[in-house]
Amino acid sequence: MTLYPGQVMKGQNPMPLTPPPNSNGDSNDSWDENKGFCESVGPTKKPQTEPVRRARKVEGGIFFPKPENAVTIAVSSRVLFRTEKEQKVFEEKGVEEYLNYQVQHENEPLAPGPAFPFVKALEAVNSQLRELYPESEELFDIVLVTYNHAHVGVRLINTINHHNLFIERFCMTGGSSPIGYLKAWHTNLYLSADAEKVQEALAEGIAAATMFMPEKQVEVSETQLRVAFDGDAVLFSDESERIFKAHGLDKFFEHERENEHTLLEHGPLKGFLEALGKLQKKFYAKGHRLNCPIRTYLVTARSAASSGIRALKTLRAWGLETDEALFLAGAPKGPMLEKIRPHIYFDDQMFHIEGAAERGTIAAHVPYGIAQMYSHRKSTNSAK
Amino acid sequence: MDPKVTSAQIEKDGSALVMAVSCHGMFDLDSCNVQPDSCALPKGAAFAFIKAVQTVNQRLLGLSEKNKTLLFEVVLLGKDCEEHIKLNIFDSAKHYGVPAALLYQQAEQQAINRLKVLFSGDLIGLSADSMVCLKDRGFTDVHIQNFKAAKECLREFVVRIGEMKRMFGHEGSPLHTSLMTVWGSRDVCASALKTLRGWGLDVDEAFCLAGATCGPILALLQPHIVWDNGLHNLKGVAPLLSS
Repeated sequence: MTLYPGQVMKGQNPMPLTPPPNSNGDSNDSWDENKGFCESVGPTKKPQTEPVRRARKVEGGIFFPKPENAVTIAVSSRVLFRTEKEQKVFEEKGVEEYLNYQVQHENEPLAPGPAFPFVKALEAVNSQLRELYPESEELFDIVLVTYNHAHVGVRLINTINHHNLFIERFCMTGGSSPIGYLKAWHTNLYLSADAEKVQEALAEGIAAATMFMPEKQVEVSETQLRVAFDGDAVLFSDESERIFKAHGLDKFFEHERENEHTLLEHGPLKGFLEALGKLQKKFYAKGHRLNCPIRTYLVTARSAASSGIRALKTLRAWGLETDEALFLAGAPKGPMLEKIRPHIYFDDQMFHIEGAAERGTIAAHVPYGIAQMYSHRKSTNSAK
Repeated sequence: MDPKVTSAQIEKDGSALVMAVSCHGMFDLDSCNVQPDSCALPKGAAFAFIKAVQTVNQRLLGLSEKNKTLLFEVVLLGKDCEEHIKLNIFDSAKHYGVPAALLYQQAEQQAINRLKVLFSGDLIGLSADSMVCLKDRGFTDVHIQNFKAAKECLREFVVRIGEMKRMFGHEGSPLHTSLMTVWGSRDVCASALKTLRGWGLDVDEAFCLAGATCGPILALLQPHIVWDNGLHNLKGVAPLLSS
């Protein structure tokens, strides 16, 4: 099978309701012919009878936008793909053996990791955006950012090819910190398996979260990108969380009542919600409000009746209302998230991450704010 | 120059890696007129590069006396004070098939302990066949011939760098190599990585920009030498060095 650009963009239903049998690979052969950087030239040098024989197009800026115009999502190789076996080799045998192992196995593609369904959903949104706005650079741009050595590059590129991912941009920094590159790429969200790197990114003002390999995973939508956010210390600052942690629930309610009319300060993931909102509006403008392929959720322990009002007021004032706001008043988040089935759920508390992961939700930890001092304490799950 | 590493020490069997640096690269000659004659000229773009080269040479000699044949040798070119002559030298180097690289201005003078070389994935990743299609992109036959010649010359340089690099481990190596594919696809980048490996060099870092501006990445990377060969226009890089 050979893919022509038109088929990729239009002929093939960009968001099939059921996953195609080979959606996770095994269709490499269609890509092998499309190698090389020129539209008209592939390494096999087939005579060109068709006008264009490329499914991917790098130059021209239509398919691969300038980073400053795009919503740039930087993912590490360890969240995009499963690399536990390789990590083990690295930890047990050291860097030289690890690099040899990667080169020896470079024709064996890696399996999808925790960020994979999210990235696929981003690409599904992109193909709809490209159809509605063929000239626009306002798209998701996925950049692979890894401090892996370039030795591993060929295996990573082979894996990207195997899974038919639209990832053309990457940096492999050979051990040095990738944080500077996140800025160079105008990163809107950074996902990594390395909590330290995530903290460094957050300290630089870049939205970032740590992802973990889930034990079980529920099916997620292929037609709609679903992103769920916790409120305090994720979309908002940890100001109220601090009161709660230091003085308890009563003081927290008192503080929220007193400050009901004061907006909350913005938190580390606010900018990412804003970026999603901007793309949502592009769908609304084309009459896709009800079937918008991006849906956002606020999932907070605040309660609707009291402390939730301030959260809603703040979001409204920012012009960033989520499609759904769920005020759990201290009830566990896991069961609710299981119903939502988000591609990613952001929370600052490991307790909630674990609760979500137990029920198969893909959860990402935002190591930000006061909760990091209180990790793993069940008492943090009280009604707010 | 460090007395420990002089050209006399380099074996004269033609196996040292000889680099010619223009005097503009070594010193800031633009300030000739305003500086009194007795003052030393300010350091030019090549200064950090020369120091980094010295570091590599010292480390090579530190490992083994046998490594004398692997050393870098730097030759200063003096007759290029006029801008057009400087360009002439650069063009002539290309014309005669002498590999020519660009010297990247170091923002900080700290980069003297490690020599950073950046290779163009767009050049290396392209097969001779694929290069033909560059004509559709405004390059002339002469350009394309130059690219082919440049790639061949680059090969020699890469082989030597690879030999040197293998003398050091991955940790703390004074030689640091990167590959940057500016407008080629990931497959061009993969092909460049494999080509370099075939020539005996596994680069440390790889960047694939897919048309994004390389300025911000270059600013972070701070390479001493950029092997670009005019395949794309790197902003802020002046043709100063031929090697």
